[in-house]
Amino acid sequence: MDTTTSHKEGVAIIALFGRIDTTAAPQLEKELNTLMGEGKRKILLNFSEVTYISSGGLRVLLSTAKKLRSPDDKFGLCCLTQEVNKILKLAGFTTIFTIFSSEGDALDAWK
Amino acid sequence: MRLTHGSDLLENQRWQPVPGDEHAEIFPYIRKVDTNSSNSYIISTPTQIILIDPGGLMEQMDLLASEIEKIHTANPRPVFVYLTHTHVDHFLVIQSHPFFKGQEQAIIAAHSAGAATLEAADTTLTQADLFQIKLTSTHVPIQFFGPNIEPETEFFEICPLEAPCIRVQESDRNLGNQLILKRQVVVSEPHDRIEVYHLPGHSHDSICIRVGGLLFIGDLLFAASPGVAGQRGWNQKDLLASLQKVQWILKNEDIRVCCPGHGRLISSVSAEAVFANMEKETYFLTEIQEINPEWAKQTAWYANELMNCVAETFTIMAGRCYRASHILEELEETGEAEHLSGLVCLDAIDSILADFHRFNEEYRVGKQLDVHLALKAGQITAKLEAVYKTGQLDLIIDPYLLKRVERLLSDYMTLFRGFRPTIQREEFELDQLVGHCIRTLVSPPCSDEDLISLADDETQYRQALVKRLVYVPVFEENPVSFDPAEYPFNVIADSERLNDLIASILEEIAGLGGTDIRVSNTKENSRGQVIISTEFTVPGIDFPGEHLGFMRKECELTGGFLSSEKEGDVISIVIELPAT
Repeated sequence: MDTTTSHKEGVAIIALFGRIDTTAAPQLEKELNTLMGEGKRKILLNFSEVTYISSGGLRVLLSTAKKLRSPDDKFGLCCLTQEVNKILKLAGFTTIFTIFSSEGDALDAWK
Repeated sequence: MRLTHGSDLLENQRWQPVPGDEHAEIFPYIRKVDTNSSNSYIISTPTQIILIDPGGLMEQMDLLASEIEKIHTANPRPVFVYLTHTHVDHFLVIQSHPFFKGQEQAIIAAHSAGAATLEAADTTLTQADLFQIKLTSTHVPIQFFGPNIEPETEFFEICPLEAPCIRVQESDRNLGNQLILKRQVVVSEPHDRIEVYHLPGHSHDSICIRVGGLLFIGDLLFAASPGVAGQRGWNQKDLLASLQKVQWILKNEDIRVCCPGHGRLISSVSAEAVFANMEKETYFLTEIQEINPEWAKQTAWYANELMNCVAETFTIMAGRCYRASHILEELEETGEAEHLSGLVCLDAIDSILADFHRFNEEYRVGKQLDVHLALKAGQITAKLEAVYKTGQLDLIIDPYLLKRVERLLSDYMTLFRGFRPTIQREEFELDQLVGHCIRTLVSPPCSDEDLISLADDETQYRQALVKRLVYVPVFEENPVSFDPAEYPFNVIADSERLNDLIASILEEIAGLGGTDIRVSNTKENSRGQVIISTEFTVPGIDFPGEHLGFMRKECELTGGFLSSEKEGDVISIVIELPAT
């Protein structure tokens, strides 16, 4: 898994590439923790290039959601691919996370 | 490195005495089990050097050649190369390693049938075609159990121009019960005595070689294993007889250690028990499929599809558990949340599946072959089955998902063993099965009434609550409607597999956001049909897409036929079944 992080309108956007599996999940968790450690409390994960998410990846998402639960915190996912969307839906995660169809939608909603 | 299996076994890659032969020394080269190369063994006696199974890897042969050079320089003697059988992983280096080019003293010895295989550069009996390896003809000067032995002579001499004379003595033994142990004894000097037994089954040319208290057993130990049983040259009847014979050898001869063609050495006591078990297993290996390149191609395809499906199902199960645990934490039921997380052994499963994915990536770029992927999937499936059974997921997860994974893993192992998965055909009313399948899918495992009735029993209430929380109402947004047939009718199929197939298609559709999900049963002449149709409002959804092939395969195992149709925006999956 590769990632690139950008910052727009006070939101840290992590674009993810490849598979979020048992190997990649700890790396993602570390990057998220680093951002939160730097005081970034609005985080958006862009899944447009993610081909697969495993249970390890799902756990990182939940763990991050737990850490970003203050009233001003924001945590969301956007641009889910067909396969990832299916997994999240069947696992019941679509009711836990805020999911946007594009980065723009997320930024608009969080203004 | 000490070999850990057994206390008196040999050390790897070190010269040491051969147990039971004070004049001989051995240098074992033991590898982790794989399909690239076998173990190798160098035996040094005062009058000869014997290399048993040089293997398939150049770097392995480099080391063996260097050891042989050292002892040969110290005491020049002829070098013999014995092949326990002519499978490519046991001999390939002979064709390309410099040690065998112009090495006048390396004289190859094999069973006469194996010699013919090597002379003919046969890529099927050597299994070379499975690994896409090309062969050139190899001459084998010493041929055991060949037809050219004159029966009236007790001894015959093999004197290739390059070699000193060795004598081979016929020494067959009647073991009773119509079992004849074909044995030849190779004698060069008074102290050098090597016994060769013909023990076919794994291959037609398999021999076991005895030096002192060591028995070199080639691949006899693996001959009943999945992915091995069924190889070209494999024979069940011969194998059964060979297993009885090798047990006799272990019981009656002073064998201390068995040296297999792959993996760790094994004491003769342990080997005897293993061979006894193998004999029982081998009785059931009737009518198994031949392992050839086509089998490897089909099995690799199935393995790939199946692992994707298993990975997805495990992820969904894990996600449901994590989600329920998350909700329990929100409800400040931390203890229950931790207990739920503890039940899930999915981290281990995740690692196992990631291992398969890494291997599959190598396969996709051509670094691994069909047969390698099929074998890898076999290992992965066995690991998953072991981990999966230790979990207690059945307490919390939808039984349909658990059964599905169990069946997928079991089907792969069945196919991998060379059998066809069992289709339990029975007659049943199609409407009843489909109706029950849908009701089960859309209903929570514990109703509100169930929860209320359990409110007085704290333990049961918590269990029911967890089960309810793990359940995900995937059809809540897009319900499934069912149109039974105009007149109820029966079909003949595997009802459990059909139920599983319909449920998995419906969940796939729900997961992809299909709307207006309809299931209808119809009958035309002697064919019953289950038609599952839907529409996708989100553009670009690829359904059934690349899953169609796997769905078809799954449907074949119900006893039916599956096809996909598209009319306007409506996509339908049609399952056809024989009706009565």
